[in-house]
Amino acid sequence: MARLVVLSLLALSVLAGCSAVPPTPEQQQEDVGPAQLPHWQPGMMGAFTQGQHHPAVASLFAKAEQAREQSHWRSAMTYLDQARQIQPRNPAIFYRAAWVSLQMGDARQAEQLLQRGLVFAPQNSELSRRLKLLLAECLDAQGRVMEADSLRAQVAG
Amino acid sequence: MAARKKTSARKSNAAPQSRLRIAFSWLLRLAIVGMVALAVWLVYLDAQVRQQFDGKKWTLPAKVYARPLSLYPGQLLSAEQLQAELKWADYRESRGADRPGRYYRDGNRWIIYRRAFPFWDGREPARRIEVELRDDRVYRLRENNTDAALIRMEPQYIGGIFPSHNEDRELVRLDDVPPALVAALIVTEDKAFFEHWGISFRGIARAMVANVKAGRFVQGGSTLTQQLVKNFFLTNKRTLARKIQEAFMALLLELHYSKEEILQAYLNEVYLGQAGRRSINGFGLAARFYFGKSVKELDLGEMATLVGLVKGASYYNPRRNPERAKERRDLILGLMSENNIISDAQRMRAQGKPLLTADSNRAGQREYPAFLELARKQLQRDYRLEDLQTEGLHIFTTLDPWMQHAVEAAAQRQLNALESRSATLKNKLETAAVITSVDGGEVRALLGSRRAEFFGFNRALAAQRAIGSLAKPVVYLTALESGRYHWGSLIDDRPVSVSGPGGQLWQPQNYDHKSHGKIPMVDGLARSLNQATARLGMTIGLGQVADTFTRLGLQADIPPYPSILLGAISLSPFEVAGMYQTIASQGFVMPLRTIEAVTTASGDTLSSYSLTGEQRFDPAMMQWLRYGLEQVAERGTARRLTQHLAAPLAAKTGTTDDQRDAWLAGFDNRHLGVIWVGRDDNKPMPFTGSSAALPIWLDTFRTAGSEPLPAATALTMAPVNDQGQLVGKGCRGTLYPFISSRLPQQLTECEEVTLPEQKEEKKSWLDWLF
Repeated sequence: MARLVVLSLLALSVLAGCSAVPPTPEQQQEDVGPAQLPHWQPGMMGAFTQGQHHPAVASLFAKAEQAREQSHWRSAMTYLDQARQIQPRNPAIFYRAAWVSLQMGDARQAEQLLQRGLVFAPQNSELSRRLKLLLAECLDAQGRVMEADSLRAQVAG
Repeated sequence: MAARKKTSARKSNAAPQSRLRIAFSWLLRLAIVGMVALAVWLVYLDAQVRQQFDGKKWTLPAKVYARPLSLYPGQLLSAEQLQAELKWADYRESRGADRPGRYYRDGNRWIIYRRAFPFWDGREPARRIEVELRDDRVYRLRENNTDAALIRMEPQYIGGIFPSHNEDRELVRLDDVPPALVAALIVTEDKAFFEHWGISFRGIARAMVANVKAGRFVQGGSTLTQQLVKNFFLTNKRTLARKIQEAFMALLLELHYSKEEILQAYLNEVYLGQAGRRSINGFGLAARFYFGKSVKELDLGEMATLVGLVKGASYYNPRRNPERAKERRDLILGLMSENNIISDAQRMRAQGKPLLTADSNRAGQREYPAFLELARKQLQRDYRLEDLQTEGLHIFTTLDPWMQHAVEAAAQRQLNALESRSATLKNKLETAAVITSVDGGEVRALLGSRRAEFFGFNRALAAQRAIGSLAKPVVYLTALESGRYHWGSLIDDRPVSVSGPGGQLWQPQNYDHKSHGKIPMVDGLARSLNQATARLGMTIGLGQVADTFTRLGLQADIPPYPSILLGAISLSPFEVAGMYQTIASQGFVMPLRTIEAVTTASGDTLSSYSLTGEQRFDPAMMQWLRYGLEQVAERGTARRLTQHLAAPLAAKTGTTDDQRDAWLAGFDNRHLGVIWVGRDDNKPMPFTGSSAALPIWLDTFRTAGSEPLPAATALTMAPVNDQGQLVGKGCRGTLYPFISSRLPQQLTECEEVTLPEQKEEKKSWLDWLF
């Protein structure tokens, strides 16, 4: 019995040890889904801090959000780019960066950032659908209305 | 007669008198003119003194910094790297790590007292943090006993953008300088500083006596004010006129400015050493340069050593002439004690210490010329060179010192090893390297020469060398994109002969001078077969291949000649890196970037840069191409890579005609590296890309750390039969990857299937030719 208790405790401690290992940024980057994107409707985006993120990325999102609240777009972009260097394939970062680019009046760059985000989002997923909806906005901003409508139709279909 | 005599005597008396009067009157006039001229000159000098002393006193070169090392949980970071980065940033190990600039290591646990630093996104105070490493990753990061998410170390200084005089300085305020240092300077250089008006007759007399006694020049009579005037306003010429001007200017300076202002200017102006092209001026930079600390942190011996340098920075250089420097230090410590600046006990303790200086070549003070040149070029798109040289801007770059050191050391080791094989090669080989981040195009390391600290020909940017087989992936990408080929398609490795303009024949041969007949397309790339690649390229069309070069981001003009298929194109390693960057990043064409941000001297952000580019290729297509490059590293010409590093890795070797150039371009999950090895005189070498460039790449990635590429999610493995045709699942055949979304849906079990596009394929006219 005593052995059983000791073994159980040992097993628990090993498990506890395993669970305490912090997830690597690479692992967390793989698991990004639509829950990591802020709410969005045309022209409006929720707080950058929405969703679960790697702590380092979350702290940079918090700074980016503060900058965004003061319309310090360049500063917001700086924080988002630091986040991108930590998780270079995280579509949730590209999503936010694209939105900031759009606010800065650079719809062309916003479009490319979303295209980049789509590279790392599973095809036909809810995540890619959300990226495409913002992408349609970027196309609209460039006067490419037909392309935007067709993209929206594709997302809806 | 007598009267005449009298008259004449009067006359003769009057004549000298009148001449005297005339002379006197002329003298007076001259004196008045002289006085006026002197007054005008003094007004001019006064204006000059005030203008220069009131305005910006110094042109401040831009200070360039490496990327800051970011610490966050889960980050890849070995103990070796952390130790090295702390050492390069002049951190000292001390139990308790009780003040900024100190750290303490206890096994996997590190306590680091990070210094305050003005980052481009805001100034951060000093922070005492605890980092725990496990399995080469940051396991835990804590500050004030709570978990921290992200902390940046302050970035390393990697060089300056200097004006032509190359003066560098770190400005200090008088309040920041330890009073003992100021006092030591005064008692050594100008004891009566607080009493005189700029010039000291007593000092001049004392110096004259000393010089006469010694029979040579041993002592100067200049006050600190005069020394400042000489350095600040005048040239080094030793003439009487200049000496007079110096004296007047010193008086004027004293008239307008307080002793404290003059002293502060002196502390920042004085020349205290030389580091290559860089002139070390002022006590702020000298403290950093000689002792790796701020002026506030200097101990008494170090203060005395720096004060000793004022008399002769080269003669008393503590690194080159330690005995002389120690003697001078001890003399000054003696003066400090005599003048009650320090106690006798303090003097004895300080004199008892050895003269310890920080390594002059340490990362924190050495420069990175190749990278700096590129950074300066990129900065000049947005900034005037003059502003970069004078405004004291802070430039934050992408350089990763850990990666830079890895590539520098690898180049040294491997070139020495190659040269040791042949006596005639000694010091003949040169190299260049570009390392970037795979996803962002940030330049992490740049090597322009095997002598990394050499400000000279930057081969990474300026050498235009034939790229040889590094062109092959472009041919294979064009083939894959055409829809007519997959990696299992059979292509012909037979002799090729194409007649060019003027009747010249182009007849490329394989490296082994053999033909290999029908081979799967992937073998053409993995084994770098010239004949197979040339035939393939001619079949898909030179125009298409040239177009792919351009789409990959290459700005050079690519003429549609057959020889481009095998890399008869001269490019710099940097241009090659740009092209391979698009492949490594799954089709994102982006500029290779060195600058993160620029701030003013006071910390205001002027510019910050983020990712820009264009997703120009289908990422699935790039994953498909990557499979071919993985085979090069797995079983082809670069297979040595995966014998030492975890696969998959993507790579391509390149060797040009007569083995004049050896290349390797390859990437893992994080970094892309392009290495070139060759001779400046463009003579052949007894080496290939595999034997000369590959070892440098391998050595670099082994030291810096390598991560295998992730699985290609867009691809599915499917069997291909002996004829190179895709067949149904479960059929006999060799498995090759295909883009999942493009696989034909209707595959009959074990029936030979032809890809829809292949039906349309017509025989090329070249097939009739060869």
